[in-house]
Amino acid sequence: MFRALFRLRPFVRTSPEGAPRARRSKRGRAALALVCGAGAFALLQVLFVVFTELSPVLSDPIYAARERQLGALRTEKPNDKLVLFLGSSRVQDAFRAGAVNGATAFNFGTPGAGPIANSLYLRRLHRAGHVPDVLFLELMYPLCADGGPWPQEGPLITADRVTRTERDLLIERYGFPGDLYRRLWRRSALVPFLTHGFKLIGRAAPDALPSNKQMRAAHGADDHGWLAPLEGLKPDPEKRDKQLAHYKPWVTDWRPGPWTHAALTDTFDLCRERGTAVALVLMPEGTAFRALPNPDARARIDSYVAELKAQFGCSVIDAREWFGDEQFLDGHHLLRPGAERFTARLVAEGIEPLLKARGAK
Amino acid sequence: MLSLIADAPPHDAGFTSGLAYFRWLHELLPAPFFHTQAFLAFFALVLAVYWTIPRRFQMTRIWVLVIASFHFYAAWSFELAFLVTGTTLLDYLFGRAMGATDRPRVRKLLACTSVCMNLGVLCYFKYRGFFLNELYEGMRALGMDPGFTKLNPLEVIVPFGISFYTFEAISYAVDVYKRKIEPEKSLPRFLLFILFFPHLVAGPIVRAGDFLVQTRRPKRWNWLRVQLGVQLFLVGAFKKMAIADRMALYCDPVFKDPEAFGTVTVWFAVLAYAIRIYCDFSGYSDMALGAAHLLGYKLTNNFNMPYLAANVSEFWRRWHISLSTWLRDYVFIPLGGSRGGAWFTRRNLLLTMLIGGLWHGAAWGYIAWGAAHGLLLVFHKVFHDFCESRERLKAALDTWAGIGLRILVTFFCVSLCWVLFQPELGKALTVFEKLFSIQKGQTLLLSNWALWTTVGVLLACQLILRSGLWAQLHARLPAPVLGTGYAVCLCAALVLAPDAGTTFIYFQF
Repeated sequence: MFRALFRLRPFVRTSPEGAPRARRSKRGRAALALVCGAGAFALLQVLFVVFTELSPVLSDPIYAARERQLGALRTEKPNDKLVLFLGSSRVQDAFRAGAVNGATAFNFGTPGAGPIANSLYLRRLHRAGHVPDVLFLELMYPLCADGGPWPQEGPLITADRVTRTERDLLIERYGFPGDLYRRLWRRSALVPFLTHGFKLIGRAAPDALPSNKQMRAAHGADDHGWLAPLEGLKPDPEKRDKQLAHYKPWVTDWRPGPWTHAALTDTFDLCRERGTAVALVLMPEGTAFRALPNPDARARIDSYVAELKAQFGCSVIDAREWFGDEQFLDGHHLLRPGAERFTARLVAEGIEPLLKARGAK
Repeated sequence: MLSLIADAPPHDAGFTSGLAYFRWLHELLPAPFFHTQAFLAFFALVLAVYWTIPRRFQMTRIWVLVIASFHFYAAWSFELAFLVTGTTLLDYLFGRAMGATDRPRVRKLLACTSVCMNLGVLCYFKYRGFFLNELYEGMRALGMDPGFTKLNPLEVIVPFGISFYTFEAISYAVDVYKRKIEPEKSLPRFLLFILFFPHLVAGPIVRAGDFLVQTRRPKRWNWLRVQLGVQLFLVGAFKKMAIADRMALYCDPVFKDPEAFGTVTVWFAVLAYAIRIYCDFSGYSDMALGAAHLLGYKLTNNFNMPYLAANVSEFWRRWHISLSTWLRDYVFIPLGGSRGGAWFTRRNLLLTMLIGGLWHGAAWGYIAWGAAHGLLLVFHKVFHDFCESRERLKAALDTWAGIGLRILVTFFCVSLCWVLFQPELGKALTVFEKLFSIQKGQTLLLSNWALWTTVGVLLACQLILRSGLWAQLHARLPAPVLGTGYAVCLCAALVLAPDAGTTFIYFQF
């Protein structure tokens, strides 16, 4: 037996280094590395999803940039009245909020924002403690058009931009397609690094993105949210025709959509609850844009605006015909001189009277 | 044109009228690309089923892989999946028949039939459109009536990976005929050799001698092998998603419309394309190798840092190794190799590379690319012979500076050749015109620093790998650090992937 044991020893120790043990330890190390890798990946994913639920910094960077700027302004002048202008890129380019005296004015115009996005943004702003005293709300009527089963804004408010609660609100209240939107939301939550990747790069190294994807709207605005149109630009008929072709199907035979009306109602209700004065603004348009709705549709737009005014007791600023075609880049986005003129007129005719009525100095 | 290929919609026509089962399959796995969520789900299912089967049921495992591979292809096109399976069956029968007889003439006839059948399938699907259209143009130019209409190249359906599996089948027939290997007796093993989904659509081109022997070894779950597989898959996904697809943003618009861009932008696009094609194809190969390792199989390594090659000959020993060795063994050597005189060898080199070019695609661009590489190889051989008798020149070229210069010159030549690597020769010539005459034009919307950063990172990674530093580091890193590295690599690939990813360039071949 003693001999047998001796014979076994070399069999067990196949090499002086103890190769079988080393192999076992290598296998264990490999398994541990893989388990750690899977765990770390899952953890990173979960953290990312939780982060996007808690903060819009990565999920909705343009909104987050604006909110951050607004927060900074409010910290500087905490006692000032707050004048907020919610709207689309038309507002973003046109309103130089820094020109307003006697109150903190902020341009919260963001690309593609219609009544539904504005309603969401106002909710978020309220949660962040930014309750405006006066709200200028753009009535971007092409986005209010009844476009069938879904709201026109549906494709613009992508599922990766909203939280779970907002997703449910959009589905239940604003007619977003439930199954599809939930699926898209789940997908973006399942692979958040893929979904939010370009936003992450846009924040960390915007130069790595093509210039048309660098989200100039998020990073290029001034302290008051104005994304100043570049100097020296001129009206571009090619761009105008492209924009006209884009908006034509929505506007030609315009009728108000139920979902956007619900969003507008919610916005007005939120403002009433918080004591915010609201002014509806129809932004300036070039002649070709103004001619897009047929006479019946135009009448419907006018009567809808009148109804809103009567229903919610808001003031209305109809700026559609304020400027000629030479002031627009593409028929509905103002060039820099146009923006200056628009701001001056809006301050004189809209902001100052409302502020005075609210008792501002 | 590159992006036209890349963005070409998957072959959907067959699914409108096909069987409901295959339509359903197509919805689940619309394209056979490894970096898609659908493939990962499919692969996870295959892995789970495969490793759940006890080891003693080795043949059941093989059948599982055969069925999975068939479904992988059938999800894209069930008709073509049946075609591939059918030709594979015939190759199997030809092999068995060759094994059953000792009469040289019969064996030769069977081998020729098998080779001709595979080449026939390849020519019918891949080259028919090209040759008929060239014939059409030629007859029209001579004022004759062709008697048939011109084919639209976009309407000609070329089965994914046809060049890869036909070459595998040809090598099998030749090897059996030459008695290098025994004909495979087991049908499922032979089916797996051709249909194995990790290498089915874009290689590497496996040899029967290497693969069939692996099907006989019982497979055990091995964490080391799994780790290697996962590592390769992750590196491949990173190369494809984070580098190749990103580089496509630089080169695709320029190669699509070279007229519109200025000289500097076109030079940047050429550099970006060289990186893109390497990361795209080697990324795919890495993923294929990784997937195969996870199933317990080892495929041929297809790349070995080709852009660090110091001459074109070395480049071809490092680039698409499975194809270059195939061409060497089944074209260059049968043509006479370098056994004859200098001119004979040069002719063989040129012919081999021309066939290599034609293998990539039925278009003048690919043929010109093959010819250019053939000429480069001939030039290298001449220069090599010239240097042999000049000791000082040889010594200078072997210094660090000399090697660096040779690497740069090789990379420059290879990158210029990539310009030809597209179906439309006219566009390639426009690119050359732009490259060598200062012309103004558009610039890209991208900043060039991202391109230079990619070049720098890629070069650093290759140098670290070549120096063996990574091997040392990998062995010493604690497992949790290594694991976190995998997670970070995957997250980085997902973050850096452009929102509009592209297909793999080599899938068209």
